[in-house]
Amino acid sequence: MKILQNTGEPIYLQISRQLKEEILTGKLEQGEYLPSIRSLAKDLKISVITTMKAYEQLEAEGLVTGVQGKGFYVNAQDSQMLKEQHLRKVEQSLEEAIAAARIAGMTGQELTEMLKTLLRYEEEI
Amino acid sequence: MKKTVKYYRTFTDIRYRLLLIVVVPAAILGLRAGAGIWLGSRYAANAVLAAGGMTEEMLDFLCCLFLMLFDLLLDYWAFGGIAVKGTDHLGCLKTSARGIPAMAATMRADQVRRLAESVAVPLLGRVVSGTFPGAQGIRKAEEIGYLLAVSVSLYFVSTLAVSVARYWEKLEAGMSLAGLLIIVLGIFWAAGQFWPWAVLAAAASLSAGASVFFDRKMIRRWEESFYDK
Amino acid sequence: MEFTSVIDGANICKKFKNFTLDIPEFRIPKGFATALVGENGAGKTTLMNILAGVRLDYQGKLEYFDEREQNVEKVKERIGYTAPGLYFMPQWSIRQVEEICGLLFDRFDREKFRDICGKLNIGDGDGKKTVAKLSDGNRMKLMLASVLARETDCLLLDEPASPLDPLMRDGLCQMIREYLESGDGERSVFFSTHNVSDMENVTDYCMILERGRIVEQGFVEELKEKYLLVKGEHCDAEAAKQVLYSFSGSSYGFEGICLAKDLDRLAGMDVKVETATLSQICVAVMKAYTGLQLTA
Repeated sequence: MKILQNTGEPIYLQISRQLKEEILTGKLEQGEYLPSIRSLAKDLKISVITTMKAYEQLEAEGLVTGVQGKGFYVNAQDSQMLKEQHLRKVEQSLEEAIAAARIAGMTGQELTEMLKTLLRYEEEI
Repeated sequence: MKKTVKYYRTFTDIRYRLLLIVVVPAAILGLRAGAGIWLGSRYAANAVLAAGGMTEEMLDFLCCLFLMLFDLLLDYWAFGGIAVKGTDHLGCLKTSARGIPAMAATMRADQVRRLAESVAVPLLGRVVSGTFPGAQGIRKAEEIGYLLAVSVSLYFVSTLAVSVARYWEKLEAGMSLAGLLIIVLGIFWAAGQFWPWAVLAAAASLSAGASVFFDRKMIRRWEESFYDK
Repeated sequence: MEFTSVIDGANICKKFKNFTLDIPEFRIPKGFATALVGENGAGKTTLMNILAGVRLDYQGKLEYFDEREQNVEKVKERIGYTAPGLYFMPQWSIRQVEEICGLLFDRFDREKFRDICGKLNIGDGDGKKTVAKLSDGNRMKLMLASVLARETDCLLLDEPASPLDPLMRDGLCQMIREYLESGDGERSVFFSTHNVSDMENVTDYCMILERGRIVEQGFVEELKEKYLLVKGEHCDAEAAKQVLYSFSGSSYGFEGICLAKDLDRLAGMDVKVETATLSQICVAVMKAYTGLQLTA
């Protein structure tokens, strides 16, 4: 995790953003507990209130749940979010492919054919 | 009792205790023995005592003098500045509920040590030089009375010197005071040879009074540091 | 934000020559590091002395650790206090300090003390060195070692950073973080400073003391939402001056702290809004209360 001092982005937001990414990419598994606010503060050399606010931010976004006396664990919701995130990625990639096809002069029909062929190859492998 | 000893040993440096309880008295007694033997060899013992025994008494006085001076010096080393106003350097003691009682116990233990030495050194000095009353059988009771008077006077004067010096952080002030008190000691010493029991009584009451007075005053100083004055 | 307090005070009052220390309500949040910020002479040391039990002439009530029965001996055992000056006798050696602390406190770990002294290089590893011969920085380290070697629940540090060099100040901040971590929310730190930028990275809650009164306090993240740093152009300076909480201008432009609630009054002006540092917020608040006009 990288904390940048001079970007103008509040530190707690940087932390929550980076943790969010780790959660959505599955690096932090569901049910896994985040480090305690105080040990994270110690490791990042910042104040406890900052890590606390970062975790509260994640909780507000539904990514983690706070348990009194135990800490914050990663929510099971992420499978839904992960799916959504990947769906968006598919959409993005397809839009890129369409744009490239236009430049290459491919028709919609030719593009669909190419997709079907590639899918068949993937299934065979 | 055990706790007091523990406090005393913790708050004072081992070298202070070694010097003050072992080395200095040993040195004084050693010199005393040497002097006694030297004097004994120059005059017949009987002639010395027949002449009123002045030289033995002077040696007594010198023993007391040195003990007082060393006590003052070593006390400055161990406890210097302890009763100075605005005792920031006792702040550590104030952060614990035991702090001030522990220090008070230490100071009292030191007073007991002072009394013990004030009595032991002059008396042992006589033993060491072979002139302890009773050894010659002459004027035994009165001589012992005189010795006790000198001992207790020494304790009184020492206590005075050390207690007042603790209020000033500078050693020079204490030493000047010591100079004055040597005269006081001298007066007690001289008077003690003629009216031993009276002087003993006077010295004892003055000692008791001074001990209590300065002990109370020191505790009060420490407690006052909790408040603005 | 709600919090449990480790020390609760009510109507703390003490009269001085020039001002009165007057704090109607005083709560130190538990599990966090709180900074008491104020100028020299604002009353910080007096307040610290009162909290540590080293000064008793004040009016008001203090409750520690949420205990119904307030026992002085037990409370002092659980508090670790360091003074701004020195509170050891100059003739004591480091070894003696170790023994004395062992005597005065039940939960003093001598092994840990020696360990910390070694790590901080106090007296260059010479246990016989007397306190008088130590530098100011080393004396502060010695006091810190003596409190950190104990099992305490609250540290009260009066100006701990002042005698320390920058490397050691960083070390101090890390020691505070480790202390908080070791308590897992049960241990707290309360320190005073007249230069908050040194300790900004470890401060969770801030109290600003001005002439005996707490004029502003809050969790740092909340203060940073309340007071925003605004920078703008010279042409807008006059208009902005009316809105800003604190203002400083030059021919190149202006800069100042703006209360979040006043931010919309700056609409239409070419301004940039940033998060202020705690230091900037404290300066702005203190200026506002002393009425100091050093810059127009």
